[in-house]
Amino acid sequence: MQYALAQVLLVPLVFTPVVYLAGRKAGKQTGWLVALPLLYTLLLLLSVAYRIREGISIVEVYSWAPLAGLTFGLKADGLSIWMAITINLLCLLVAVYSIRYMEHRFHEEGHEPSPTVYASYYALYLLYAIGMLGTVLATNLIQFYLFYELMLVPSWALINNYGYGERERIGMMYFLWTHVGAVILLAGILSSYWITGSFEISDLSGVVAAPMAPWIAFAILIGFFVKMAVFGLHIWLPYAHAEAPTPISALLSPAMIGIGAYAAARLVVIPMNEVFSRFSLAFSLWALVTMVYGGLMALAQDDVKRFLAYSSVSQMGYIFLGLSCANAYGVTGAMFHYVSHGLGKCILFCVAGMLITQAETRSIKKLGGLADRMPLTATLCLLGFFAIAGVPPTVGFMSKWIIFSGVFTAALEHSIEMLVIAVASIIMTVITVGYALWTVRRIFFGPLPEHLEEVEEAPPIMTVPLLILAVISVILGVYPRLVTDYLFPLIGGLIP
Amino acid sequence: MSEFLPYPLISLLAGAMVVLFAGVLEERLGQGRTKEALSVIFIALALIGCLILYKDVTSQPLGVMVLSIGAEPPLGACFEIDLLSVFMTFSVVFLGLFAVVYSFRYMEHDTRLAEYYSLLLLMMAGMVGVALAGDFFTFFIFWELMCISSYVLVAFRRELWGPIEAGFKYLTMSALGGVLIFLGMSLLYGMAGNVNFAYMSVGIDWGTAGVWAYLAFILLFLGFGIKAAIVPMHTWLPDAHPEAPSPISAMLSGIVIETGLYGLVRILFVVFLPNAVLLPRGPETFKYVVAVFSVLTMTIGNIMALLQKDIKRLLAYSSIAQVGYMLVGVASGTTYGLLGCFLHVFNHSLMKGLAFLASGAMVYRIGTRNLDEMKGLGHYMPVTTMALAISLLGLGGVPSTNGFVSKFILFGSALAPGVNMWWLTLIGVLNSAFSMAYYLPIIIRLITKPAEKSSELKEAPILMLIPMCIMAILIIVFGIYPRPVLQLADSASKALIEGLQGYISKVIP
Repeated sequence: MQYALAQVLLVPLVFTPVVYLAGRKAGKQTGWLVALPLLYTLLLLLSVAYRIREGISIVEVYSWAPLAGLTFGLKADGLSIWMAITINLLCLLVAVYSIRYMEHRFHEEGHEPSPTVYASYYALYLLYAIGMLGTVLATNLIQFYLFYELMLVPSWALINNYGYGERERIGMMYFLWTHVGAVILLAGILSSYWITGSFEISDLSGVVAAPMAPWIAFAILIGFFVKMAVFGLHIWLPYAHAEAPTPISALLSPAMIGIGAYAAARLVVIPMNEVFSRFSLAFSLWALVTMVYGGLMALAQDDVKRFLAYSSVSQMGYIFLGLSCANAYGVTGAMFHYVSHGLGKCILFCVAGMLITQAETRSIKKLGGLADRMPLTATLCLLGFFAIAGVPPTVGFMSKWIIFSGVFTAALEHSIEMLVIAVASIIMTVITVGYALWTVRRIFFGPLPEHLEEVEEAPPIMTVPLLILAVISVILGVYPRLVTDYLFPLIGGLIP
Repeated sequence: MSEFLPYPLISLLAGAMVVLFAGVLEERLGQGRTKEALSVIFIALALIGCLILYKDVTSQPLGVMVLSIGAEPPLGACFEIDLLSVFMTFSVVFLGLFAVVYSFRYMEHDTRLAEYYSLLLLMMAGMVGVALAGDFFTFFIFWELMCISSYVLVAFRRELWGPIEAGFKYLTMSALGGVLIFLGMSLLYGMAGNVNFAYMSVGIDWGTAGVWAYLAFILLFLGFGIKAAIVPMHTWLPDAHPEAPSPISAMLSGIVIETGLYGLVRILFVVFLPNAVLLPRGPETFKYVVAVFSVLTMTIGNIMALLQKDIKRLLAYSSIAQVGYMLVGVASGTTYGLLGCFLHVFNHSLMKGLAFLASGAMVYRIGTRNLDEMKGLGHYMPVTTMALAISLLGLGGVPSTNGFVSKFILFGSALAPGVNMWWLTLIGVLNSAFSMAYYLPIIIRLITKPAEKSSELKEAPILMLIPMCIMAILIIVFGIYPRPVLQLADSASKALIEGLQGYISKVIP
């Protein structure tokens, strides 16, 4: 089919004003109207994925502003297609999940919601989805940057308008951190332009020989590290992810921050591999620190959403570790872990949202023994934790396994110091399993407190989307080749 | 082709007179709206004149057109029009059209409207004349025409103290600027023996000029710098722009200060830079002076904007910062940098014009400029708020607005091989990110829930909304599809650098 990728961006874009206008009448049912274009684009992306299974890639190029060196290209290859499918799938299911959740959220605000609030929520939601999809499909650096910022503005507005707590201050903090990261990225992009004379991502490898190359790589990476929230640049994340409305948290953490990792792979690790691998050891140490710090901070949390936010920091540490190996296994593992973390963390944030709607609290201390009252939620939560902690047969096991094979390969081939990091990081996975199981026990097992005796299972409109995610994470865990057959040949062909 | 004056100028000057008479007649006869209608018609005619001018200029050999008044160029005054002049003219008239339509409702409670519209047209005529001038004599006449009418417009509401004080400060500083320009010109005249730009470009014996050339440059830089609000010559701007009526603020920030920048660029690139190699350490000196002032201007502008509680004062400081960005392109000294500079002049005129118009509409409804009292205004004035939000995001350089396109060309130009001012780019992008710290809180204040219900407030009048909506749409359209403006700005910047020989040979065969 022609223009398939352009449709992936255009159809939701056309739907945005429709959603806004129709939303003023439809109220909470607008969520279904958002799901419609996203379902269509998901089918499109799946058909594209089927077409490129043999390792070819599909590129669509449109002329944009040739004077400034800009084209508007969209590319689906083994690397981007699974990112796009994951993002699209999460956006679709979370849109359905939002219907019930946002109704609760607006009632919580203490006033009868007018249909307008639904209209603007869903219109921003759809724009946010377009931003994320556009970022992973872009072939031109400026176009990439455009979408990269497009995902920032609506998500900021969503936090600012519908979040919890000190949402305005936190929204501002989120915006400024990521915006500063993004402009440093822009500085890197511009300097690369004057070396290669082109804004095409595929021409970025021309930078490698230049003496400026490490600086350019570093400038570009800083922008993505802020988004990924690696240690030191993570300050905004626990606030933003904890206080965003839960469906948005369920997109921020699983879908958006990982795009930083994808972009780092696409823009730096693959084209500038020689430059990047020089910093391999330092970066893997940094990744280890991120991983441990996030895990330990997660253990210390009482607020369930803040707990999940720190766990995201820790998981980004794994993805970063995979990238820092700079070899085919490591990068494949990192991208694969994006998929598994996306599925798992989305389930977990949505479970947190169900605790908020059903049990009316976010404090882990006040929860307990809910497995009897909400058996399905408990199961989903356990599966979600399995997926991120890497317990077979869920998908997380496969992705972490590939990351670690990458780390060991790098250690044995290049520097023996890395072996220490590799062993340390394997030991550190215990922390993940530890905080996961301990939290499940505290929320779902033990004695049921009195005030929770009336709690009921969440309605199917909230649980069914999560069930779909859980099933997919098990299917991918059993047949990881569905993903790795796309990722590995492509990445293996580009870097050693 | 007109033999006497360029079409847009005829239309604006004639308009100023006709509107004045029509307005005075109308006051005698009672109510009427002829003067408003006439101003729009004359500006629309000027816009058409602009298109004719564009066609004329492009059809000329070398892309330059000379119109002389009285004698032939070296003796008589002349207009020398290239695509850069056309581009500036177009920007002036385009923004003026929006400002005038907006003025209908905004100024309706004021008296002396005949003078108001007439002065507005004269100010535009002044700017157009500056853009088209081919020698210093013509240049200076129109420069003063622009300045004098803008003093009166700033202090138009003379029954209030604020505008009078701001207008007086503006008058003093700007008059000083005028004098400095005049002195600089006199020095150049003494060296070249002629006031024509083209003669100055080739007629100066730079070997002996030495320190006098630098002195002339410093005087001109200070003089134009005052108008363009380059830090530390900017102090009049944060007083004058907020106190002026909002459509005038839009014109001042949107295009008047950029006219100062245009004057600087024209002189720098026609007279100084082509001959800079003849001066000791010439090229670097000129570029680094501009670069250092660019850094100062954008940084101070942004920091000061962060501290403001008055929305129009905040926007005024943000204009200073934006001039700093434009100077990045000038400092680079390349065609690409100037492309960014002039593209940003046009884009900024749309964005800052819209920001002033939209905040003016809010001031019109609530009667205060204090940001704290604007909390929740978005619930009563959704369209105005949306327009303001778009313009602010554009000023912050968020992609998919036109502000991003020009900023990215500007910052990119400083990295070009041969320019190599990476520090300028770094400071620029950080400043640009930092500027979001004051644009965003405005949007946040407007969209938060209002403290108490008020049924008094309602959306701005439709005649104010129309220009605002069109501008907001244009910001997005030129952000996503910048090609048409980009091409115009590209040919304008090429006319200045690559077309210089043509520019000279048209006057000196």
